[in-house]
Amino acid sequence: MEFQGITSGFGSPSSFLITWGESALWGIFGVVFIFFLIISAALVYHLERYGYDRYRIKFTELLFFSVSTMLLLLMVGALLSF
Amino acid sequence: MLTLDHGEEKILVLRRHWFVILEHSVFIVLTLGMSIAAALVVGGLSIPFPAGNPGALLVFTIALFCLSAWVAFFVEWTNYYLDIWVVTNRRILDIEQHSFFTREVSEFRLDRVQDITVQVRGLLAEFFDFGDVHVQTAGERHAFIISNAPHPYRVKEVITKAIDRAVEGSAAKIR
Repeated sequence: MEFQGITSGFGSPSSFLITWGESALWGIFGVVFIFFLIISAALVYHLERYGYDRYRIKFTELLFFSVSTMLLLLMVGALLSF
Repeated sequence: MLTLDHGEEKILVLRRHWFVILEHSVFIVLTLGMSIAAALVVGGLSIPFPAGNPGALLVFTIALFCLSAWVAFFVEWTNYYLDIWVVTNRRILDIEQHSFFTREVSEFRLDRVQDITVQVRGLLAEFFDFGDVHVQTAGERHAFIISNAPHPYRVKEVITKAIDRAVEGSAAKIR
């Protein structure tokens, strides 16, 4: 069958789906990460350039990057155990 | 960063009332809550999962929703934080951050102010003490509005006193 032909390189339909699904999730993660980097750069640029209170800006940036990194690591962890 | 002229003093720095950011945050939190609930409901259904680890997929999805909400909140907060009014002993600076890369900075001299009006609309505005302060000027752009300013009547009072002092100063210079 054609389906078996496609998946023959992966051993079984199940392993084909795992590989395909994992690749799709890594793709989603990649897109999200790039968007995150662009928005973070814009945020930091605006805060550094136009912010009024240096300590508050630094604290805000630290908080933003700490929580974001934690969530990104959680996503990577989930992907590695998929 | 804000630069003031020689001899210029800051009298008041004003941001929109915290209720504004709370309102936006509630919307973000509700969207996030609904997304997580939907993911949990779908995860809880006994749909046969063809391959992989369904728990990991659920964690990935929830983390993705949380990250999106977190970034959305920070974009809102940055817009809120960078949107300010500064009243000095000489002028009023209106710095409006409409969105990323859209910023408007206007200023007008206190002695050009003609009229100040306060508008408090609604029960929540009355209860939390915030409202719009309309400042009418003699310039090309006639009205400046401080939207959702905290303690609008006190703001009006402070600006009126600052105008009186500025006008007195101008009159003394002429004499």
